[in-house]
Amino acid sequence: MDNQTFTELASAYVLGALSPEERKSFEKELSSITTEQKDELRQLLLVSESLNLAGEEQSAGSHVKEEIFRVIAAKEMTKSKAGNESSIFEKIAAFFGLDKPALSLVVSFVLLFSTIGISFYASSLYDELELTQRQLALVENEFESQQRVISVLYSPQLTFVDLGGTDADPEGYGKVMWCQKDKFGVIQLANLSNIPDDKDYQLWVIKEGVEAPISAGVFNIENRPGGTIYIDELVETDRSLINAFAVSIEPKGGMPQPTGDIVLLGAI
Amino acid sequence: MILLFILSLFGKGSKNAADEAQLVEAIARGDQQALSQLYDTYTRLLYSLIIKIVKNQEVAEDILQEVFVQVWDKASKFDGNKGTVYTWLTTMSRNKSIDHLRSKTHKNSSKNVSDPEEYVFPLMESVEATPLDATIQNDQRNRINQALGQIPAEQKEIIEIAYFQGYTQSEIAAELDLPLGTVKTRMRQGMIKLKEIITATV
Repeated sequence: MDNQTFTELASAYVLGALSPEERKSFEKELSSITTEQKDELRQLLLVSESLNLAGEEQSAGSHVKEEIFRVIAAKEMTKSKAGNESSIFEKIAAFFGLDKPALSLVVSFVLLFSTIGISFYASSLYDELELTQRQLALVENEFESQQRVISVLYSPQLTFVDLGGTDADPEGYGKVMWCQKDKFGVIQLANLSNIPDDKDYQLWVIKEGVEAPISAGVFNIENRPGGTIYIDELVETDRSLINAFAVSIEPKGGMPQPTGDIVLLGAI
Repeated sequence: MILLFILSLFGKGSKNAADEAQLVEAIARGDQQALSQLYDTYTRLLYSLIIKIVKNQEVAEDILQEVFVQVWDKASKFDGNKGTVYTWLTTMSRNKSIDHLRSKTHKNSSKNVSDPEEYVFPLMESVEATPLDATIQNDQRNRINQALGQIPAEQKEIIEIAYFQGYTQSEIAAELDLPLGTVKTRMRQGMIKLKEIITATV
C-alpha cells in the first residue's frame, strides 16, 4: 500500500469513519505495514484523541455523581440479596445432604404439587363463594319482601279479608291484606292441596256492580301447602267497592275468567 | 515521533496510565472510593466531549452517568495491556453519544458504534496521551481548538462530522453531496495539517 493511500485509510480509521468491512480489511493490512506507516498511524491516532478536547470545557451538575452512586448502591443491594438467597439455598442443600441440582429438582416438585393443591383449594373456595352469594341473594330478596309486608302491616290504611276453604278444598284458608294507598297486597295461604303441574292458582276480585270477576294475579305455591304471595298492582284497593276475593285453580298462566274450582273465598 | 514524545510528556507518561489502571482494578473489586476518584479526574473532560456531540445538557448528563455505571459494571473486563483508561473512557463516551444521535436520526446506519469494548486500536498499546491535569488539559484544549481554526473549513467540517457524529466516509459523501474521493482527500489533508499544526505549536 502506498503512503498516500495508507494515510487516507489511517485518517478515516482513527476518526472512526470506515465502514465495518473497510475497518476489518484495513486491520488485516496492518500486519504488513512499514515502520514509517506504523509511526504515521500512531501520530494520527494521537491527533484524533486530541479531538476529544475540542470545544469548550463544561461541567456536569453535582447531582450526576450522586445519581451514579445511587444507581450503583441499588445494583449492589440487588446483587447482595441474590447472593444471600443463593447462600440460603446452598445451606438447605447441605442440610439435606443433596447437591444443588438434586435440591432444585426436589424444590421444583414441591412447588409443582403446592401449585396444584392451591389450585384445587382455590377452586373449592370459589364454589363455596358462589353458593354463599346465591344464598345471600335469596336472603336479600326475602328480606326485601318481608320489609314490604311489614310496611303493609304498619300502614294506617291496612285492609284485610279472611279467606276460607270451599267444598273444593275445605282445609285451606288464608288472608288477603293490602294497602289502599300503595296498591300493594299480600296473600297468606295455608293447607291448600297440591295442584297438577299444568295448573296455577288465580286470585279474583269480585266488585260491586261488575258482573265478571277481575283477575288480580296468577301464582303457584309449588307443592307447598301455603306461603306468602305478593301482588304489586292490586286492581282495586277501595274496600267499599270490593265484594269478595276468590282463589280458583286455572290452567297454567291463568284465564281471563274463572273456569276451574273456587278453592278459597272471602267476602267483605 | 516528535508528536508522540510531546503528547506523552503532557500525559505524564506511563506512571499516570498505570495509576489509572490500578484505579480501575480497585473499582473491579468493588471500591466505590476508586470510582469516585476516577469520576473526579475525568468528569469535565468526558462531559465536555459528550455535550459537544449531543448538544443537550440533560442528555449529556444521562450519558455521563451511563458511562460511569458501565465502568462500575465492566471494570473487571478492562485490560490495561490493550489500551489506556483515557482511551477506554473517551471511546465509551463518544460511542454512547453518537449512538444517541443515531437513534434519533440514522436508524439504518451501516455502523454500530455502541460496543463499549471497542476501544483498542491495534499497534497502539503504548500510546499514553492522558492529559488530565487541569492546566495541561486547558493548554491542550486551546491548542486543538486553535489548530481546528487554522485548517480549511471544508476539511474541518468533514473531520468533525466523522469524529463527533460517527459518519463513515460514504455517509459524509451522501450527506454533503460530494464525491467520495473528495471526502477522502479532505479528510486526509485535514488530519495531516492538524498533525503539523499541533507539532509546530508545541
